[in-house]
Amino acid sequence: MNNSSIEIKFVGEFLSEVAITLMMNGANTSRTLKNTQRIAQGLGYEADFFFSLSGVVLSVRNKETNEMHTIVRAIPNIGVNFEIISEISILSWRVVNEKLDAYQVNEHFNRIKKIRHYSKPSIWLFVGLAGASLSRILGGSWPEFLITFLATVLGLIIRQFFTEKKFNIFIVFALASFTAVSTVNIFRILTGLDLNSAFAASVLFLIPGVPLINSFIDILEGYVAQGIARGVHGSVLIFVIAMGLFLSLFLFGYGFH
Amino acid sequence: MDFINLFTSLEVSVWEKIFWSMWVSLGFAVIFTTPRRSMWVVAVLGGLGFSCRAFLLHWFDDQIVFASFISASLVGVLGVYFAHKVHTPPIVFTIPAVINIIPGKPGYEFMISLIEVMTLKEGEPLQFNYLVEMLEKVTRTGFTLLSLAFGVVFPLLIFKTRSVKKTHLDQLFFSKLNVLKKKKNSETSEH
Repeated sequence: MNNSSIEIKFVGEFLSEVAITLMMNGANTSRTLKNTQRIAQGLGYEADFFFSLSGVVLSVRNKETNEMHTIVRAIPNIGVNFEIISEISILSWRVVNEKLDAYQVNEHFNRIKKIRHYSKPSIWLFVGLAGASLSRILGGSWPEFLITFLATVLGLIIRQFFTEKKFNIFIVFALASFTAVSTVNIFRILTGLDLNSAFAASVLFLIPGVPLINSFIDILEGYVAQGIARGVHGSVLIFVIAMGLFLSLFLFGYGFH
Repeated sequence: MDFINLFTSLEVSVWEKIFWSMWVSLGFAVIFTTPRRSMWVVAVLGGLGFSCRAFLLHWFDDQIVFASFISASLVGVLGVYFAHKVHTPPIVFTIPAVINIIPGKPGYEFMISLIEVMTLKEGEPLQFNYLVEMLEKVTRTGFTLLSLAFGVVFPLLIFKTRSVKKTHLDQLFFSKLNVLKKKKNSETSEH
């Protein structure tokens, strides 16, 4: 095997990894396509893709030798990390402007892949505050503010716990929404207050905003199949959240009359 | 007025709501791991979008779909502008920023009215107003969500012919102005 055929395999592997990482972390299809193609062009290759929600088919062609290499990869479903997306976007421009070679790019990319989410306590604090603020926006009182904070944090802890145990995402969302609403329900029974805004705000940290907006972007830009897949995914997530809410209301008695 | 009453029946002013709306956006930005350098943009855009919607709701009497669409478009257009300031793709901060205008209350009320219909006992008559309320809420929530998404997306579709990196809003504006001036000059010189 000569040198160029080793390199084209390396580049194919690496580009498919970039595409998978972008799709996994919540980039829309056209962004994934543009960034990977930009990197490929910078390295002297031409790349063509076929995307679906669960996999990617990629073929790279060396512009000088016309050698081709095709690769099929599955996309495992992991949450949203916008920092990785923005770092890859910056890297793709560096490839074009600074003329990096494939191995250097791979090194940078491996560093980017290691970016983690924010630390758990800071997520609890900020997301709890977000839920609490939302209850305040919906016209809640200060006790509701505190209760929503607590409910959101408990729901988040459940969500993180079961996500780490690699449970199905729909089950995780149902359990988290059940926990959050049950917390509010327990406080409703204990205090006898009417906690309507707290109920509405406590499940909002689960809203699948990124899949829904990405689905719309994909459909508008002509990637209808991926758009529909993402839209169905987001809608089922909403359905599952509603199920957790319903189950909790059913167990604790309806507090909305 | 007893203590409990003072504590529970507090009226929330618009300014306070705008303040809290920034925190909602920040919280969602933390969930989505938006880079630290663009957090301030999330807060500013979240506050701007929410105050724009509050203003429009005040002006146009509860036209929530229209108001959400306009404020989401404002966030989307400003997102293209701020993308250069913090070196991040616009989506990274526009999605957290519009999340505080998600129709939470109508959505929740829709779910509740759905549950009311679902949990009717056998033989209990279905009240017509349940269905009407359900239909009203689902229409309003659905269209608000759609208009939110469209408002965020359409500036990207308009400006991003190749990449946002090549579109500076201010430069685009001035170049258009220059073209217009040249046209005018050439027209006047011809006559």
